[in-house]
Amino acid sequence: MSVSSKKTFFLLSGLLVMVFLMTPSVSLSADNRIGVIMTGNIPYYQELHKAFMARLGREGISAKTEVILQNPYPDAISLSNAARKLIVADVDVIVVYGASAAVSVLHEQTRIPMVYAAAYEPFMSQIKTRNSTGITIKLSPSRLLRYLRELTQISALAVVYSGNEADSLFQFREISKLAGQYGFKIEAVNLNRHQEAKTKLSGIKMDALFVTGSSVAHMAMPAIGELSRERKIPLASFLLCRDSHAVVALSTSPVEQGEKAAEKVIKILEGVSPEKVRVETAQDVELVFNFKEAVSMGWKMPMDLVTEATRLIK
Amino acid sequence: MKKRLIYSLASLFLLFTLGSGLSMLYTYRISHDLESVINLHRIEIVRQSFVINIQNVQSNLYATGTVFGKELDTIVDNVSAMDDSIQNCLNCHHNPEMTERLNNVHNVVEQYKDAISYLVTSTANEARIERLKMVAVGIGDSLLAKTQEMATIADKTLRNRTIEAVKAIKKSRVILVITLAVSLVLALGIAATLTRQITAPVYELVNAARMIASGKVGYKTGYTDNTEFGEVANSFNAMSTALQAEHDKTEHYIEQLSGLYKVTLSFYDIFEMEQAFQEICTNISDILKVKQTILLLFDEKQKIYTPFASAGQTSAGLRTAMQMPLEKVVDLYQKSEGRPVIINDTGQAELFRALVPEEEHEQNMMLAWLNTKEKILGAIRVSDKNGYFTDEDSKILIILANHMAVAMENADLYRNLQNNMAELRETQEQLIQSAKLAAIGELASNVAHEINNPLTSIIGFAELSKEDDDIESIRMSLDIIEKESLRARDIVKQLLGFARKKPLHLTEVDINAVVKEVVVFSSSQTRMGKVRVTEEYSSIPTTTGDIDQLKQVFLNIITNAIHAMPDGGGLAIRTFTMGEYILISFSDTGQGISREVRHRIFEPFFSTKKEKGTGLGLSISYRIIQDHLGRIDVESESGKGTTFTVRLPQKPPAKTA
Amino acid sequence: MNRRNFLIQIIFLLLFLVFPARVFAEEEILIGLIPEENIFTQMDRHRPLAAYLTKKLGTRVRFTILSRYGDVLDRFMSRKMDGAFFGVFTSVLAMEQLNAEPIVHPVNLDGSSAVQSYIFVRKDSNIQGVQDMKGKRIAFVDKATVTGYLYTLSFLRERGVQDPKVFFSDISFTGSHGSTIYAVLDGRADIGTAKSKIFHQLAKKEFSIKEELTILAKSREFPDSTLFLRKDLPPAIRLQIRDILLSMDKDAEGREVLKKLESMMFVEAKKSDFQPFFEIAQKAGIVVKTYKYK
Repeated sequence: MSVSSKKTFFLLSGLLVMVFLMTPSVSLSADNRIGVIMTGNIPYYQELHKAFMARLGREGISAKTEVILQNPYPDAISLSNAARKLIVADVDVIVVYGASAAVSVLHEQTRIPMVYAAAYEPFMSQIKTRNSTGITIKLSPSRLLRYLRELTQISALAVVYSGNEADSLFQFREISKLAGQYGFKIEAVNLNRHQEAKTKLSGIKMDALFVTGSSVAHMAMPAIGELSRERKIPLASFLLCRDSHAVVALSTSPVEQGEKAAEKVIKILEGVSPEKVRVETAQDVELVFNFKEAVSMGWKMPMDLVTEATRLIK
Repeated sequence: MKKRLIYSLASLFLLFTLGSGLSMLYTYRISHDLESVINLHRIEIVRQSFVINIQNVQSNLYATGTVFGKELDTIVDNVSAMDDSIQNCLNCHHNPEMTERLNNVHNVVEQYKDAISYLVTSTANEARIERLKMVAVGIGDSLLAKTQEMATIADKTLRNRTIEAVKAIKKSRVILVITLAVSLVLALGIAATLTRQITAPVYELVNAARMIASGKVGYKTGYTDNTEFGEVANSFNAMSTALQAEHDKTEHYIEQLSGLYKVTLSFYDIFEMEQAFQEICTNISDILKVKQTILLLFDEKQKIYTPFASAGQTSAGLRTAMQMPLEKVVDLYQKSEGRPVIINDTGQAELFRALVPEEEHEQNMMLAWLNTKEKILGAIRVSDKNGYFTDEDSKILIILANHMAVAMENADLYRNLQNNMAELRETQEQLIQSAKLAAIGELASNVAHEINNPLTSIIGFAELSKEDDDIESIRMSLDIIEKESLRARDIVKQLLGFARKKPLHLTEVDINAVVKEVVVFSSSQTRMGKVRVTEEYSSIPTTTGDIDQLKQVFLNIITNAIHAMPDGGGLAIRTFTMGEYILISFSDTGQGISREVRHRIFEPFFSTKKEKGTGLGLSISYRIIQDHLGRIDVESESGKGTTFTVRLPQKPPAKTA
Repeated sequence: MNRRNFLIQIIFLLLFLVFPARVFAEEEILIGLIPEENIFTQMDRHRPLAAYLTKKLGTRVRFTILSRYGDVLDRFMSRKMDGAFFGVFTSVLAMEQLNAEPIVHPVNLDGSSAVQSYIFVRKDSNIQGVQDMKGKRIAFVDKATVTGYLYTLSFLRERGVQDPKVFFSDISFTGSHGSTIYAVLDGRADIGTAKSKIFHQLAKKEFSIKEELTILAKSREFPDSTLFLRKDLPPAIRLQIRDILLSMDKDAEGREVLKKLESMMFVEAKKSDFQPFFEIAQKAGIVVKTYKYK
């Protein structure tokens, strides 16, 4: 045993002790164990998880299956910890909600198969996803920007994202690229913690706000929404919540995500290799338009948005 | 009085100004308020029509199914009307808050238009059309709400403005009534008092003014008073006295002026100034009312200024004292700077002591210079005026002196002119005499030359014959001598004819007949000279003349013409009348006469024909025609020919024979 | 008695004189407009044309908006319209069912008077032909449009697609050409079909259209807009209207009106201009008279 392997061994045994001490006791009598990590404890993932569990229940699986749920704060260390806990717990399949959690699991290079849900499709297609399958979200930042531009004239756009969340960072880059084409300035608002939102946004000169699909950002959503109404700045968002603070938002149904994820987990538990389970993209994209707010703010009504909106808040 | 008047009127005015100022202020505020009230009403009307339009559109949206028919046109019309009314509003509001609200409404109207357009252009999907309709209706409702909100604000303002306006009207009415009442009472009081105080003195003054107007200059009013009317009466009396004085003064000036006129008049009638000097001095004494007047002038011989004339009792001593050399006068002139010297106190003469000798004991003295541009002619000195010399006196003396100086200068010029004329006349006579002599000399030399030629031949052949034995040869020489002698005689004869006037033998002459005869007579000559003669005779009256002499003239001209055309040519002869004259013209086609020669052709012995003529023909012709009181004119152009025109008067000349 | 007879005769004579005149002198000529973008702007643009025609014709000319939803032809008849500016599909319907005659086409400021139908996909979709389209989602505009539906239908039929409902995983009608383009751009549909004019108009303000979409097929050209007039309108008036419109660009006043219309001039329209449509209809297996487009 070399020196370095010795070091690794001690480190791992230390970690193992820690993990055992921290995790709730895992029942060893169950047939299957499913580990779930959500990228931040936000209502959207909770709803997704509810649908996931319900689906498993309908299939009669939940009775003989133990589900270990991890909901760490959406930062790299917390997410890694959660992943390692589940690996140590030797679950049969790891289910992740959100691309950041998926990234932290992939980073551990475990042999445990993974099912991801609510992962941003353009980002997922860029990374290597071995031994995994899932359901992605495909949202078009250019579409949202188009509506935003119809609502108001933009010369500076504030983009709220989190550098700790890989998909959010990816979206920020996509939007920045588009902004270059349309010729407006980007004000980057990088949130490490949701409490920072108010102070980070306060000094910024902007005509519109864009909130990426970041969990931290969504935890700060009430504060951001309040600011947008105060300053009469239209807010667009990739929505990860039910009640929209944004005047225009694109989102997918958490129920669809949860159910599809459950279907895939079942297949894997039945012994199908993850590579053989088809990766799906969510069909049910919702375009939410807060008509009431747009009228009260006196913004120009984008009629395309009115006609295409799948949900109109009156 | 003045103070009383000013105070009473000023208080009345102040009261009035205060009252009217206040009411004007209120009126201004009222009109301003009313204006905005009217404006608000107008806006309200616009707003109401706007609301009605929205309601119409809304009801159309609610009432009809999605299939629009005719209603669509109504919607379009109503929305356009709506748009117009909001545009109207946008054009007149200035309040920033209202403008923002209106802009807001305007934006919503634009959205409304958008929404309706979308609704109308949609082709499919019932649910979507329902939604679009909902949106359109929603926007319409928010429009109604916004206008309602604005109406509430407008209504409140309207009410406030109206109340303010009514209040202001009431106040202004009260103020006006009070002002008018007080002013009326005050004005009546002032009017009664002032009338009483003003009429009496005014009447008196009017009366006095009438007296003066009727000619009683110097009339004085007896009115006295310690008010302004008293002052006016005093001023009036002073004015009357001043008028009297001015009246007297004017009469005095008129007297002086007439005297002055009398004096100056005499200056221009006479050229011998000296004759008038004495009289002038007397007149000056009269006009200026002085005891002595002395006229000093420059004596060319003695080169001093000396008294030339005087009036009054001028002492010999004074006259001697006034004899002054040129330099002294120039010195005094320069000291006075050319202006008149006035010494009203002879004790204080100072610079001009020389002009007032102490021993003469004169009271006062005044002197004016007589000068032209170039020199000091002299001066007029007056002295011993009763009183003192005034500016008026000096002005009069200057005028006199100036007139005199000009008159003397003129007299001088006239004298010079006369002298020059005499000189000129003398020179002229001398010139004529020498010209005559020169002419005779030239004539003599010409005659000598002409006669010398035959004489030379005569002497030559005479000497030849002396030594000749052959009789035939001698006879031949004698023939030549005879011929040359005859030629010499002819010359002398002609000369005599020229020098001594041949008397005219006047008879009734038909010029046409005379010309025809001469033409016939010279026909052999013209034929030989290859000259073609054309004649043109007009009917002309007969005249009186010497037929032979006229024939000689015409023949001479024709001969000359033939000679002017050595290679032949044409000669046109024409007779006609022009005015008082009969004209006979001879135009040849010869070489012409040059300008230099043309001036001299009528001079005796001037010839261009070398051997052919004596040079007397034309000068004799000229003399003959002159004797007939006519004229010969020559027109010629070198190379093109010459025209001689003989002009004879139709009226016969007086018989000189 | 005689006198009364005479009077009656006179009245009859007068009636005869007046009656024919009323038949020929139209009181008002009503022309329909198929609505575009903003109907208020559209009406504003057409008002000068109405005034111009009224002045030249001596008869009042008025424009009205024909809302798209429902049966355009029913409304044309129920409103007793004398004519209308129609698109390709409505033009053909007008010819087949309304007994109307094509008069003129307006020419756009860029000189074009025709449009095409485009079939397009996203560049990153890997769809290169009909063979790649199986199981994908297609977005059409509306059944009553040539450029947004019928052409693509004929295109697919010609390439062996008998039943699109089976061939595609999803078929949607977006209701507007713009919506169809955006649906494909946003990834809500894989294949789209729309009018070339709208495609280029939108591409001007949305750069990603040209960058991210690729056009797979283009149809032949169809007249964009055509003025039709009822055949039973007195021929003199029909000819007069045609001549006025055709010579508008030759007088200053007319040019001013054309400027408002954003047109260069009017050119004569012929029935044969619609020939490409009939070819498509045949290929798509459509009989215009019985075609259910609602």
